Amino acid sequence: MTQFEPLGSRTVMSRETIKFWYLVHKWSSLIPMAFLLMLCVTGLPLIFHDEIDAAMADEAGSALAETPSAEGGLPLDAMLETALEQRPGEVPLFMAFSQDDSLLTVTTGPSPDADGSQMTLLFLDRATGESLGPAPVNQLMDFLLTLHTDMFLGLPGMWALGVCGILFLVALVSGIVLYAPFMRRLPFGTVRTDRKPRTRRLDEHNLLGVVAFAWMIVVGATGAINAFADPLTDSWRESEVAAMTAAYGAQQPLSPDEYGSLDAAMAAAQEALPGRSPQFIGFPGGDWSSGHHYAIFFQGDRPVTQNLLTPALVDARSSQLTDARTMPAINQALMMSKPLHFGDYGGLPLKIIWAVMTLITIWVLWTGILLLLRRRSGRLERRIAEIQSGGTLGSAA
Amino acid sequence: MKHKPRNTLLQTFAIPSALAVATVAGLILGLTGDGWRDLVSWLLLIISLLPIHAAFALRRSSAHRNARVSNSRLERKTS
Repeated sequence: MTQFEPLGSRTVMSRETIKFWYLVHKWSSLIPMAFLLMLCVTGLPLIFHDEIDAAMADEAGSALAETPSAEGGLPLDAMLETALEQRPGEVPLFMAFSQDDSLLTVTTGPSPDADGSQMTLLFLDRATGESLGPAPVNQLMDFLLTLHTDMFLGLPGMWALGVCGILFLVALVSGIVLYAPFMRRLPFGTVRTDRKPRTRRLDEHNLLGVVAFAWMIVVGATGAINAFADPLTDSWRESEVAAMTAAYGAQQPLSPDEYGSLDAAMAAAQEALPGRSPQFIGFPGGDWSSGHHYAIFFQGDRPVTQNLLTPALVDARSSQLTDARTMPAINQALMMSKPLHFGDYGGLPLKIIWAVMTLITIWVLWTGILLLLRRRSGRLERRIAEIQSGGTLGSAA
Repeated sequence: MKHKPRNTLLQTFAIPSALAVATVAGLILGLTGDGWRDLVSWLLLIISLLPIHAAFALRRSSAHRNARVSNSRLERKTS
């Protein structure tokens, strides 16, 4: 054994090092603990959001045709007209396409820059041209989603949860560092049931934590990225979209009664990006476009790039293409991070795995609370001894 | 206790790293396509969770064995 062999060495981590990482682990998990438990508990039903919505809105979805609304059907202008007839005086904000069936959704609001709370989501069938009415509202799921995203506090709430996500990542990394001295004399998978409940809890915390580590890192990191999504979209609009539409800089935003043909705009965009499937259209003046353009977002043409959207900006008055550019790397990372956070890209089995992982995370958090709180104060030295000895010393408190 | 051989870092993290690689491979494979990729993705993720099942199954069987031992002791005492 040489001295310079860190991975193969049996060098003992010093008390000072353990103390440092123990304190990092303790505070990075204790501070966001209540929020992390809330995120797990609200996230669990949200994994099955689609299934629950589908079960509750059974009749709306069953009659749809199989031709995806992203591929074809009745003209978009006619669909938009049908949608706007239901919301007189309102303007269109988004139109979204389905890759699975003929469902087409149109979001309307009182003004082009309307807030999310003022928007109405309408369902339409692009095969028959029929209106299916407003999207069914599931109050419980909406409540859970808002709690999970921003705790009803808007942007500050999102950022607070984003910071919790970052602290969670620190807790995970420090937990892995402490795993090394703790497991020094223990084989992988040790769960001692013949000792004190505290020893069993420590073993469970370590085993479940290390097994679900990679998943927790991925979901924690992608959750934190999503929490900072709005500023990233704003910065894309303010830099990239502004650069692409520099020629329009001085003009007044386009009024909704001047909007031109959507079908002509779609044709112009598809000429620039052939073979791509549209996902949604951002109307002028909203968060996802400029003041003068239909921003038509296309999916990538391969499965790998399916989640990476490329916007084509089409002049909303003349239906002429202005520019089509891929989004900056940071916005692409944001788009890739969504499926990795939601677990909605691999069918029901993946969702069940997501739920099991969430339950494991809850158990790791819960055993973590018990290990941190069920002890008397001033026992830092005992905790260090406990980690150093793999739970055989220092747990007497 | 003091003389028990210590694990090297490599030994400590051998299985955890393998599990992490299986998890990440599963997550990315599922993201990059459908069909067989989804299937392999589920398998890899389920494999990454097996140690928990194994550890708890082992625990149950050892608890069962302990219970049997104490029962037989009890029987000896009472007879």
